[in-house]
This record gives sequence, C-alpha cells and structure tokens, in this order.
Amino acid sequence: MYPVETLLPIPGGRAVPTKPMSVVYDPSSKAGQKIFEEVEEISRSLGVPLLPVEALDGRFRPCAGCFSCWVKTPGVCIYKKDGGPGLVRSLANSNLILVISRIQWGTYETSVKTAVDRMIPILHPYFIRFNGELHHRRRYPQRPKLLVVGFGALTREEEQTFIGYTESHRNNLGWRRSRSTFILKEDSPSDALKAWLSQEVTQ
Amino acid sequence: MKVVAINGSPRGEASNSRLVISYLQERVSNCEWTVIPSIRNPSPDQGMLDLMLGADVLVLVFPLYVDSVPGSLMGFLESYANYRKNRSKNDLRPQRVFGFVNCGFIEGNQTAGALQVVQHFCADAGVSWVGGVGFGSGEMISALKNVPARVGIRKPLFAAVGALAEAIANPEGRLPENQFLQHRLPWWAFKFIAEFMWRKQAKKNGLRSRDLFAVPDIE
Repeated sequence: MYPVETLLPIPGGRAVPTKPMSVVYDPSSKAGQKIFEEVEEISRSLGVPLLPVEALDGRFRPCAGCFSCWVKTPGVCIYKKDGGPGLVRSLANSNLILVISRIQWGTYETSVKTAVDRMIPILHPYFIRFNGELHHRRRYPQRPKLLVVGFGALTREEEQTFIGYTESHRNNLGWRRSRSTFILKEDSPSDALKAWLSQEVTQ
Repeated sequence: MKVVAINGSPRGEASNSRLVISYLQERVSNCEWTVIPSIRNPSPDQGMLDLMLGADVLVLVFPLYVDSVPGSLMGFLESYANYRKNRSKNDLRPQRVFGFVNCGFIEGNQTAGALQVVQHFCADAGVSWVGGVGFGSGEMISALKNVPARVGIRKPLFAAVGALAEAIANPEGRLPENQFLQHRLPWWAFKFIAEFMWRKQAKKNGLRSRDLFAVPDIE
C-alpha cells in the first residue's frame, strides 16, 4: 500500500484512478519547492496522486558502484537505511516519474543526481539494443514515462545539454519521447507548466 | 608542471578509472602527479581544494553514472567551483582540465553528454576545458589488464591514453576534439561476454541466472 499521507485527495471522493506519479525533487531549493507545490496543485486537479521523493542534500548515500543490486541481491541496493529503498519502491510502482531539478552544468543538480544514481536497481544487468545503442533491460514490466522540469540554467548551452541528457536518461528507462522535458524560465507564462504537465499526464 | 588526477569512481584503487590514471602517469613522467584516489564523499576538505587550486592541469577520470557525472563527483566539483569563485583573481592560476569518462555500454559516444557537463563546469569555475575522451566497454579496461597493449582489442584504449598523455605533457596541449572510442569488438560479442560475466558474478554470490530477474517491491 502507498503511505496514506502521500495520496492527494481526489475531487468528488473518487477512487484513485491510476498509479501515482513519483516526483523527485530537492525541497531545500526555494525554486524547486515552489515548482513542486505547483505540480501538487495541478496533479490534484487532474486526479493523479503523487509519491514525493525528497532528494535533500545528504539524504541519499552516493551509489557505491558495487553492482550488488544486479548480481548479489537483484533489485535491492546495499544501502537500506537512507532514501534509496523508498525511491526504488516508488519507481517500481509508478507509470509516471517527474524529476524537478535545477540545471547544473547541463545535468541534474548534485542532490537530485545523487538520488537518480540510486535508480539503477530498477534496471537489469542484461542489455537490449535500442536506437542502435546498447541499454540495460528494464527489471519491471511497466514502461515508465519520464517527465522532467529543469530551471536555472546559466547558459543556453547548458539548457541544450540538459535536454539531450534527459533524453538519454529516458532511453535508459526504456521510454522515448522527445518533448517530455520542460525548461521553466523566469519569463515563462504563468500557466505554461500547467499546460505542459496536463498534456503529458493525460496523453 | 603540477598535475592533479581525480579518480571519480567510488571503487577507488580497484576501479577502471584508477587504472586509466596509472596508464597516464606511466606516459607523462615529466610532471609532478598527485592522485585523489576516490570520490566517495561529495564534500572535499580544505587540503584537497588547495591541492586542486595549485594544479596546472586537472585530469578528471570517472565512470558514467546514469548517463552523466556521478552525483558524488558533481558535489565535489561544485565545491571546487565555489571555492574558486570566492578567491581573489591573484590567487588563481591558469588551469587546463581534461576528462576521461568510461561507460559500461560498448559505445564510447554514450559519454558525450557527460563530457559536455565537464565543459560547462569549466566555464562556470573559470578553468580551461581542453578536451576529453569517452570510452565505451569500460568494465573491460580492468578485465583485460593482463593482455598486452599491442593486442588489437586494446589498441583503441592506448590510442586514447596516448593522445591524452601527449596533450597533458605539453604546457599548451589540448585535444583538437573529444574522442569517442571502445575496445575493438562487435556489439554482439560485447553483449555476450558482458552478460556471461554478470552470470559468473551472480553464481559466485550463490545465485542462479534466473534470480537476476527478481522483481522485488511491486505492490
């Protein structure tokens, strides 16, 4: 069962219509927290429950690169006392994964990237060939859709790298969609995030 | 010339990244080398930051983690970038930065995004990006370490290491462009060997091949 406190009330008291959306973000960042709150509101209106994964600095131990989660205890990380097991559980049970991150040099910010590195138990060590490249097989049957909101890039080039990076991350999870990364800028229209997220969630 | 090599792998001395640094050290003997042996903690201490600040050349060697730079190395580099920004310009010397990324897939070009990240880090920290190597089939670097360098399968690795070493040794040296290489074998042979190795490791851990397909945590 999903922890009750992570489920949002559904208007009209309907039953939970779908699997929840996992949201990985760093609440210690003011902008990240603000975007999360907006996502929370949009999701409530769409009737999609959220599973927040707070990637606070230091909450996730950095991946040790030991591959135990592939060849010793398949699907289970050696670190069991931090946020890692909860992250894997929420990903294994979500069809939608939303990562909210400041763009740091064209990739996720340190705290979010440290959490994302701990996603590898959801992959299988064996390979598949996809788009002419080798990637890891998925461990779980569902094909999660990876949505990303990036903000705060220092340059246009960092934004471009970020879009390319999130596309690679998406390929890694076995899902390919080129428009599922949203760059939120200071001058973005106030309803731009809502329009994008509504379209991505309902598609 | 002072060279500081940063091993961005948490696996430390046993890592493929450390082996690449050793190959570079062997080939660049006219420089004073210091190796930061492993990045397990994303917060460097003052001594490490000063060490990096005093280098003429930084060589970042790391494994690809989820298509990019490992989180611990991101934190480490962020601390260094902030440290530089808080120093007066008189304390800062010109610094060249090289990168070498190894990845677990066969295609070296899957590391292109990670090298771009290092390039953006350099722009942010005010140091000079002078090129990098993205090397596929990285797990085979250690696995083949007893195979002579002249054997065909290893030639691309030593071509890349040689080009990097030459650029490091020259005070003005840089790679004309990033290089993407991998051990010389077809993708299907790599897949076959790599999956065999995973099964071998699983067996060593008391598992059967089918155990690798476990799906814990589904609700």
